[in-house]
Amino acid sequence: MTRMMLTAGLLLSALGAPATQVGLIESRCAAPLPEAMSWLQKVVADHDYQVMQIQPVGEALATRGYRGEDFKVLFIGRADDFKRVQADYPPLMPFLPLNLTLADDNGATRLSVMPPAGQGLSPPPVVARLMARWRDDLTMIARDFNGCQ
Amino acid sequence: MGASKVRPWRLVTIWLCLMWPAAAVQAVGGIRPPVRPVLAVESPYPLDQTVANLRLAIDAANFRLVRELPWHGGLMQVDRRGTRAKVLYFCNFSMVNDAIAVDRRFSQFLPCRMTVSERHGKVIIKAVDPLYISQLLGNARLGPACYRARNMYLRLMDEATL
Repeated sequence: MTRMMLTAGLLLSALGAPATQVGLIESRCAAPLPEAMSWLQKVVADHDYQVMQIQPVGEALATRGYRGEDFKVLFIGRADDFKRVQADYPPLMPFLPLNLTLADDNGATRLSVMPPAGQGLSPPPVVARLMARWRDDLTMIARDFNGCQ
Repeated sequence: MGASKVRPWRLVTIWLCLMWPAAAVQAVGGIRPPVRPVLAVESPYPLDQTVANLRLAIDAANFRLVRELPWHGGLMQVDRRGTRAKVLYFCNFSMVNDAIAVDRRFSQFLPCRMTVSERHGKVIIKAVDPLYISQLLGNARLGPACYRARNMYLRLMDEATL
């Protein structure tokens, strides 16, 4: 019994060990970029985030003669998150607003987003939880984006 | 027989067996960067003056200022304690084009941006370190472009706070 309890404890500690996760979250939608952008804005609103601005970076590059895939960057945020970061951990400020990139992918659209990672940062627990929530929310947004009409 | 003794070496073995896969999963998820994620420089000037200086430095370095917005983008009211912050979005299209040609995922970090904040009379310019980005993406070929971008960021910060 003792051995089983100790093993279970060790298993739990190992599962909880990776404190931070990094990596790009990617998703795809069969619709072309303009329609996919409309869909993404709806998905973002469904997850209680507000669209703060849309930056047509690909278009800006194209007008200057640089040819490449068309892409736009969508900046999103929540007022409470801004307040939390500003009050509890200002070093994280440059990571806000969160940004999602939509790129043309042979007539379909690819979404990519890199949630702010905790490596090299030492946020207090309340902000670490906030960062974990961003990762979860962005993962859900990417998943819902995949179901575009 | 019933109350069996737990041998320490066995516990260590079990712990290692459980931890190594966890570490491997973490490694696959990304590379642990040795650089700090954020570049930050304190300015001796008030916020508005620092933003004006940064604007000039961006222009002088052949970057194009794309947009200048309050950090919170109007989502929240100005902090009554006097905390203010602005974000300057800017771009050097040639540099961006080169970086995207190496790795299209670099588009995730465009346009370039710097946050200038003022709190309790202290003004700081902050930006996500481009070198940190290249390490997160785990593409060594992005290294030179990100290193150039990092130096450019530091130069802009330096000029704005001179």
